[in-house]
This record gives sequence, C-alpha cells and structure tokens, in this order.
Amino acid sequence: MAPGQRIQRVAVIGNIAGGKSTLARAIAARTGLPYHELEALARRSPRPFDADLQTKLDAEFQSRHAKLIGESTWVIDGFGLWEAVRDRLLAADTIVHIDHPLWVHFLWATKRIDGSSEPRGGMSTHAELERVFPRIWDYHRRIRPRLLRTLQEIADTKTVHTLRNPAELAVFAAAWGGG
Amino acid sequence: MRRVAVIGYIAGGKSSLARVPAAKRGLPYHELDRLQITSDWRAVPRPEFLARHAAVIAEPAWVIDGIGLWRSLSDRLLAADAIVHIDHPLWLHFLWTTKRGDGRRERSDDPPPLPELERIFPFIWDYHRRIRPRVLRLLQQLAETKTVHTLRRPEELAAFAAAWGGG
Repeated sequence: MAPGQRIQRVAVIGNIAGGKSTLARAIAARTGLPYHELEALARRSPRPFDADLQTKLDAEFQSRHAKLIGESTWVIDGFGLWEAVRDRLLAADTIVHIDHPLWVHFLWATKRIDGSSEPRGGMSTHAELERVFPRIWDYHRRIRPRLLRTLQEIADTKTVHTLRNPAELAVFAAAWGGG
Repeated sequence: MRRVAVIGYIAGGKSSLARVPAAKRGLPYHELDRLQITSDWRAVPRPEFLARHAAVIAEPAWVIDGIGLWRSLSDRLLAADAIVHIDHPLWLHFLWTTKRGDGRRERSDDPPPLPELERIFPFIWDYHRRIRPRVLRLLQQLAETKTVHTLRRPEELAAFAAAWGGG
C-alpha cells in the first residue's frame, strides 16, 4: 500500500484455503481497522431444497453486507454472493487478491482439514474434503474469471495487490506484521 | 479389441479399470509407471524407456495403463484399436490422490508409492493445464479411426467397468 495513503477499507479475496483470514487479521491488527469475516454473515439454508427460504437468507445477507461496507473503516475477508463481492470491491480502497496456483488451494485445504483439532476418523476427513474440493474447483472455473475481469476494470481507481504464490503471500504478510 | 490404451491422470481409477479386460480376455497387462519409473521413484532413462515401450506396443495384444512421455503416448494411441480416456472433473483426481495408500506396499512388485502431496499436486495441475489439452486434440483426430471411450465421472467409470467385466 502506497506510503502516505490513508487505508480505510480493505477487501481480502481469493479461493478457499489460500490464507485469506490469517492475512486479513494481520492487516486489521497492524492498521487498527475493524476485522470482519464474511462467513459469519452468510447463512446456508437448513433446508437445501427450500428455495424461498434461501432467497430470504440471501436477501438478509445482502442487507447486512450493504450496511457493513457502508461503514467508514473495515477489513473484510471472504466471498459471499457475487453481487456482494462486486459492491465490496467498488467500496474498498485497497484490495488484496490471493491467487495461488490452484493446486496450492487443494493442498492447503487438505492440510487444514487433516490437521484440524476436531476429533474425526479417516472417513470424516474425506467427507470434508469431498465437500470442499468441488467448491475450490467451482470457484476456480466460474468465479475467478469474473473476479479477474472486475479487478481489471477497477484497477485504475484502487490499490490492488495480487499475491500469486505462497512466497509472495509470506513477503506481503511479513511487511504487514513487521512494520 | 486386442490393443487397449487406458489413459488419464493419477488416481482416476486407470489401473483398476485396465485390469478388468486384461483378466477377462486374457490380454497381457502393462503398467506404464513400471516401464518408466524405478522402485525408488526415479525416472528410467528416456532412450531405455522408449525402447521398452516400443517393444510392448509392437505386440499383437496388450492393455496398457498410463501416460508416459508425450512421444510414447502418441505412438501408443496410434497403435491401439481401443482407447479408454478417464477424464473426471479435476477436483476428483486431487481428492482420490489424498485417499491413495500412504506409501504402503503390500507386495514387492506393487507399484511405487506416491510421493507426498506437495510433490504430486503440482504434477496434477501441470497435467491438467499442459498435457490434457494435447490429449484431447489428439483423441479428436483419432476418433474416426479408433474406438474412443471417454469416462467423465465415477458413475460412468463404474458402468463401463461392469459392462466390460461382464462381456
């Protein structure tokens, strides 16, 4: 982030298990900006086939999200619905895009789930991976291309940091933690 | 069907599928990894591998499972009369790799254990980006002269294996 620039609204985005939360917390701690994890804001319908209920939950998410990004300072990490992503990127002054090669996201997801302190047998580890891996793939194919287009459109008006591998992430995180 | 090439990337079910026609129809079965990789996961020198491979595909009957060097792959597909291409969504190859045995070898002639995920995941990604598009183009060119079966999901793989095993 450019020296002297006042950072107030930071969006940290990228695929699952890329290190978003860790980095976003470091940025929040370093800058004193309030940290928000988007996962906490979204609600999955407890009845997956109840389209009306999901629509209602999505609308609630959108309104909470709109209120949040209207505030003057924040660090937000996560994704949520695409409309929300776009609004958030437009509202942010600084965007950190974590964009490792795809295999890193699969590897880190495996390690996270394997190394989790949750008690589980071998079966549930794989059940968890079976749930997460298709989401990583879906994000990569459907969401990432839209994200890249949007970032290109708004690059002139924002500070955009793209971290393309774990080494770049580590250097960026060190600069933020150490300063 | 006397010369069958089973191709596709790691942990997609190639070996399990390839053993079915080999056992049912008495065709000799060859695992490409065995021609290409030593028991301590080092590559067999290229000229030696290509010579071994050329000798196998010149035989009248075989089932070969694996990819190998690009040149060996294109030679093999041209020599085959039937090609089975296992092509699951990418995430499944990653998932099934995590389920693979953790280097355990039950018999001394079992295939070499997989290296750790840090080494194998980038190979899967590289295959997907660089090799698979070339495989698809080649298969398209061969489609008129060969029987090509493309299996895109585990259910298609299971159905095909059942049909093949029953015949």
